[in-house]
Amino acid sequence: MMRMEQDNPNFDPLLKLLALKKHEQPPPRYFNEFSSNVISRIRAQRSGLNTMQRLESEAPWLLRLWQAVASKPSVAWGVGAAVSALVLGGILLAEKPATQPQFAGPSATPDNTGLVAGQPVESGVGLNQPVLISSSNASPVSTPNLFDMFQPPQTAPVSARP
Amino acid sequence: MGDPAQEKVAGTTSPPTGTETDEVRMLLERSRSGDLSAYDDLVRRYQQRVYATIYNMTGNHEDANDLAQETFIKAFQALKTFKGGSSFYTWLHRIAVNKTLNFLKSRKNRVGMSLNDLDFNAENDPDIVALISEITPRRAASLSELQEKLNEALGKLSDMHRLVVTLHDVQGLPHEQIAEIMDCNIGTVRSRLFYARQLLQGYLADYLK
Repeated sequence: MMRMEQDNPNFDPLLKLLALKKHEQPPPRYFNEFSSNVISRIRAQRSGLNTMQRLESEAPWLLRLWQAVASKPSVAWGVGAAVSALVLGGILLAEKPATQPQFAGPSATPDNTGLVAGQPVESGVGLNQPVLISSSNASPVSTPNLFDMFQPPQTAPVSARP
Repeated sequence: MGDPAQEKVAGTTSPPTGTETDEVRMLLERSRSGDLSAYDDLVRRYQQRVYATIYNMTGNHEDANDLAQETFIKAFQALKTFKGGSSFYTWLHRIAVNKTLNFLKSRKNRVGMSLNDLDFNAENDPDIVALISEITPRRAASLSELQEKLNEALGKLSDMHRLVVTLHDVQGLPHEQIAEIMDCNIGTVRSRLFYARQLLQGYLADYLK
């Protein structure tokens, strides 16, 4: 009898316990959205593929560049770092206050001495060499307003009388 | 001993597992030509079974969700290679099983279980009622404790043994179909199933006597 039991073990209780697994369910409404999530991902993959195909036909050099960069992460990092440095440098330069000597261009407004700030002064009295006037105390060179440069067209009022 | 193949698999839609209906074949043809609404129909038909197989293998809802979605996406991409030698359901399950086995191999440290809740029918399932109505400690064990112990025991099995128990004893698939899915012969399925059940019986001895 023991040998028979060992040869043919009774798995009924185990199978009854395994019935519990059939009752484990995902969160409510999970399956309502499952298929639409799958379809969305398939569509997204398709549009990604279409982009690459267009790139291949219209700008193959760009695709090759992209593939070269994508295949070598170190190159991608280097390019990214260089671009970031350029952008940062540009921002810093643009925000730098104008306290240092500036050589004013021809559009600079001269002060009442007739001198243009920053322009070398040539004089024969006691000065043998041109002297650079610092513009640190001078008023900042004002750039001309574009609107001032252009006069609006003069239009005569329209008379209502025939 | 009840035939597991006849047992209801809770919460599943029931397309024929052995043969394809004309409707499924038509949906397949349309999906092959890129019709996503047809493929959406196919996903809805098989989503619960595929998810259940993967969930019972991983014991984790989040992993099962990801793997189930990837299974259907891969199946769509590979539709042109499906020649109809086996049923679409079998072919789809083979993709799901291979994905899950690869995932489990790459998951070096076992992630903690993230078990789904038991539905309200569990307490009325005649098998479960019969099981917990017998002597202690089983009588004292709550359903959630039984669920936890069962899943712990399943987690101790090798991936292949857990798979065969999942497909046969939980999903109710016949040996022949399991052999196709696992790409082995029927004798291997039977011996793996027997050995897995013996192991489980040992792990769960306190709850089965």
